[in-house]
Amino acid sequence: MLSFYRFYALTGLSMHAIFRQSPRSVINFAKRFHTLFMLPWLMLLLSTSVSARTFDYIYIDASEGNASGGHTALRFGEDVFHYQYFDGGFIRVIKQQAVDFEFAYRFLGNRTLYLSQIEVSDETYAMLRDYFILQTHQQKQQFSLLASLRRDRSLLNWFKNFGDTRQEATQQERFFLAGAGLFYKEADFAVPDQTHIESRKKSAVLIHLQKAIEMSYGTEFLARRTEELRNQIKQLSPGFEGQRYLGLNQEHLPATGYSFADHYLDLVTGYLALKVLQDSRELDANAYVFSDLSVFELTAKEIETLRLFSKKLQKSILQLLKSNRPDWGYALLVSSARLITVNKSIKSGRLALLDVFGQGKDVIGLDAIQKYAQELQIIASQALEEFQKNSRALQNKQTFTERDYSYLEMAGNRYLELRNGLDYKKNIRFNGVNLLPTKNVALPELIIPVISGPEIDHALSRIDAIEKQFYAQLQRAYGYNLITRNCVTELFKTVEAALIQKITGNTKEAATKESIKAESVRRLGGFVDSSGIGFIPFISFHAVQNQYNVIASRRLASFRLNQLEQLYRQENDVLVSLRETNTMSSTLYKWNPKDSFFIFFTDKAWPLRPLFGAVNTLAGVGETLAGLLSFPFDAGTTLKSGTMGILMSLPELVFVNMRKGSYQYLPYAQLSSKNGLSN
Amino acid sequence: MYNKRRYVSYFALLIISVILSGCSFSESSSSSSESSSNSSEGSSNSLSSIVSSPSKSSKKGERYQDEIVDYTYAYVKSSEADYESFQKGLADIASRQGIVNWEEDPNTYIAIGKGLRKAKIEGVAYETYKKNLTGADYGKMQDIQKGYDSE
Repeated sequence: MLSFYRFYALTGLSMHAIFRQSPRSVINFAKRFHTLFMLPWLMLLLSTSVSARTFDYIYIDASEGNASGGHTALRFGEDVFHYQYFDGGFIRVIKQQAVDFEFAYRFLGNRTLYLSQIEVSDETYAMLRDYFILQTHQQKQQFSLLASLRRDRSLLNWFKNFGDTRQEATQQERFFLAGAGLFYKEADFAVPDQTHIESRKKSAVLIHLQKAIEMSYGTEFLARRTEELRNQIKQLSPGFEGQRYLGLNQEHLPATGYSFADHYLDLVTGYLALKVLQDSRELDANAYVFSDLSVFELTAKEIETLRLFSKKLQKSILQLLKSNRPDWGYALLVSSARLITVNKSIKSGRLALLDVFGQGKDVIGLDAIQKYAQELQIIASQALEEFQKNSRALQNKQTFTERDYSYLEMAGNRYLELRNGLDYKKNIRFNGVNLLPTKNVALPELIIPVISGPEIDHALSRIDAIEKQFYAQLQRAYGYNLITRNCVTELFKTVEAALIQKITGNTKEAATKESIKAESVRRLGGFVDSSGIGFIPFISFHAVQNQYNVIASRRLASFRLNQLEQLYRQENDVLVSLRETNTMSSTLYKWNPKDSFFIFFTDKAWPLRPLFGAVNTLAGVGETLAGLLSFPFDAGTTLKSGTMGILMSLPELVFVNMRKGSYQYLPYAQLSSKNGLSN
Repeated sequence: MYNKRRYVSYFALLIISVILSGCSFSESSSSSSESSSNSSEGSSNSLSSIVSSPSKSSKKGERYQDEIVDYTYAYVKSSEADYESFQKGLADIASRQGIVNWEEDPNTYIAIGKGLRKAKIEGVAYETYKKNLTGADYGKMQDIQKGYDSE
């Protein structure tokens, strides 16, 4: 090793500089010297690189609205961790797939990403990633606990006011039974305390299944199991001993437990699932989709695969009837519904699929369909490609899995929804498509646990006390603060916490600031302090560049800038500039209602920024004045857009750009495969 | 003069950043949680939009296992043992991967084994987890062991 140092001293090269290069740069460096004696050193350097790993610190530049100061994230392989603001004033860590993160921020958000690639040892990489995984899980558990307390209270209040229709309007939270909507409509439960639900139409597939159940478990099985479940629901008790909820601890959490509300909802779902089998109930007519399009035709080979899949489904259903998993009822509903649609497909020779759209409220309306016709056609073509790709799994009956079927089901739903919307000018459901169907119904007043009034009151007062205390603890731990607890500070605090865990190990000795710094320098190449002005995203990015062992940096241009660069290569520069610098003639941007009103893009033309900013400010003032007049008619939408326009334009007067314009609908095909976050 | 102007620009930039610095809002923060069995707090994906990421079919199985490994690791490291709540979490991960019958998928138990190993669970504690997480099913316990030994 000593001679290694001496070699670089003799050649006048800084070892630090060499180590900061990527393996590719090191190879280029070796080529330049063309010396055989370099090879052993090259091998040594490459072996060092192989044992090391890299992660990215990502700075996302500022944008209008909720991220005017920019945003930051860490990427470990396929996973991106970042802190987001949540309702209630909390800041929490989110784990997101890199491809989804990039699509949301770089493409729809139209923001440029700056990446610092940091090289660390395998051990440090695993330590940091694992700590973020732990944090994500812990926070999820903690907030689930809060949510389950609130659900318990809502459910108990519902029980308390059971039968009192006046209370329905004031119900704090409505409950829904996922999967039950595949077979039931809310009208089916219109008669209160209905103890048996008549099915108007029988399913031949479920009649056949019922026989298989009787053969496996006996003729009385379904009736006996249904009755058992009914009694179990009646005897359910909130049982709030409460102690387990107390004591929020960063290192060790109380078990979330299986909440009273979740338990009740699971049991009622199970009860309805058993009733479906008992009554051989037919699928709800709106629960599945069927199409005349030729791509939904099945070949003999594909039908054969579905036959085998149908047998697997039947086997799964028989096992679910004996399962101890808490949500077996939901699984039973989905599997039974799929069994019916698979058999419809086999019988008709065309693919029938369950409707996998959930309760998402966002739709692409007729105006938007017209405005974004070109984009939506591309999205539909891409959806068709995805559907055809997933259909290929049907070619091999031996390897076809439940997961393959789910992807096929979802891809088919997406394509049909878009096709129907575009061809028949219908609203397109934008959100809520799932890999598993979740069609639900509101919780019916079917079977209510026998709990006395005083018992409910006691449980409610316990919940109130626990929730108050727990909420206060969560506020202390995760309350958002612009300067001391934001998306930057929390990333570095988590990194620090991971280092502290390593320093202290199992000892109870507290780590000192010096020891944390030393450990950070040893593992990451330096120390970043997010206090002071370090909480500002772009300043933290520079701190990372200066302090950590950054071996490479990348800039991933925003969607519009990326497209603009392509236009400059293809067309006359002056024409492109004139056309694309303003929102009126731009071919790359259509005004998104989520953006404030503006005329000029200022994210590229920085010398003209104050001038363009002045025009944008005037446009914002005009929009604001118009908003004052239209206030009674548009509930202040124009006024809000105008004032936000002014606010976003003022920084442009002093050369600062925030607004980039954002996009509503972009096809994933727009993602650059060569230079993306995952490459 | 030039320096003075530059400092003014920096100062303006700093003030504006301080005033407007804010973190991204969670998309999920505005959505209602109608179904308790399908919540996915703490993790996020774009699968629920009509515009979705192209699925990488070769990586679907790997992703499922990785998610379960991480979940098992985090669960046993930070939570008290509660098997029903653990299973609810498993079902949540499986549903996001298009799997409803996760009990029948050997990958589930192999990944649990890997997660237990990652969390350094050993001896009696390991055997207890193995037995309770599988309902003492021999085949499933074998799968957990397989995953545990592979790490």
